[in-house]
Amino acid sequence: MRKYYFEGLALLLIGGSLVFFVECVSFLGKRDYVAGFLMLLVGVSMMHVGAELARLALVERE
Amino acid sequence: MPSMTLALALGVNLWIVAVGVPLAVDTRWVSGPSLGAVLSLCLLAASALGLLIWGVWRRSDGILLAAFPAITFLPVALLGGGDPEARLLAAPPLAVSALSLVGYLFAACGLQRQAELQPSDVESRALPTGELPERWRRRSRVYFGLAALAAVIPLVLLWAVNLRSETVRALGRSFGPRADSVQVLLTVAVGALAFALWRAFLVGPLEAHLQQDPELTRALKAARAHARRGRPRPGFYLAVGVALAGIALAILRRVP
Repeated sequence: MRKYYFEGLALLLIGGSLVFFVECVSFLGKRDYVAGFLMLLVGVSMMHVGAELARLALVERE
Repeated sequence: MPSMTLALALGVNLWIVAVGVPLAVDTRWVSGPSLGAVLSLCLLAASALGLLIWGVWRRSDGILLAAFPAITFLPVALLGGGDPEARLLAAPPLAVSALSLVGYLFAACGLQRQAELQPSDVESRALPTGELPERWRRRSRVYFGLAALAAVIPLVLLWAVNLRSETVRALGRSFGPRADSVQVLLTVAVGALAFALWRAFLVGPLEAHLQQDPELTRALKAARAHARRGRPRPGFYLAVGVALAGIALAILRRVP
């Protein structure tokens, strides 16, 4: 159960981080570089959190 | 030995086509720039030959497949572009250059292939026949996926730089008559990025796999040790904090 919880959460976070990357591109298009950088930071951090949970899920699986 | 001679001969041929003939035929590069620039160009031309000999001697992938071709075409790229009146070097015909480059790259790959076939200390065993276990099939899928991405990503980037109408229009608006040069520069940057991605994220994992993934094994061992504690690593909390702070800052910037 714990494994599926971690896997689902990891998928959600990694998928959700893509939204922030899209927002980053959108802000860069509007020449709002500070907001674009913030969105990039949030996206990378979310991806990192998702990867950490995926790693935990992998260990749970084994 | 024949492969080495062939790679060396075709490398010298490429150098003659891309460097030797343009420098010999067009002498504007001698009279136009300063003495320092002329000497630098001569040094660049000679270093390309030196790189070729060193690469063949060391059987180095990076030198033979990337550094030597890049340095060989650098003089023409630096002095053969721009307005026709401002060019200091006549560029070689595209078809001849392309054929020479492709022939050389094939010979260099053949040389590397022959080096791999030499008997070495690495023990090799045939894979067992029959159906592969699931974990091996999963690995194969991942590696095929990586190979597909290594091909798709550069193609998409090349399309975005050279063929996407919005990009072409934006470059034209931003750089005016120099848009073509910027487009070429971006294309070269895409090529360099593709090579770096290919080396780091396709060849790297495959090499690690051949060596039985010692780093991955160590990382999994450490991850198992952390998982037994039931808590994520400190980087997890740091990333959560950075994400929350980033979102908070973004919201605060929007509040009037």
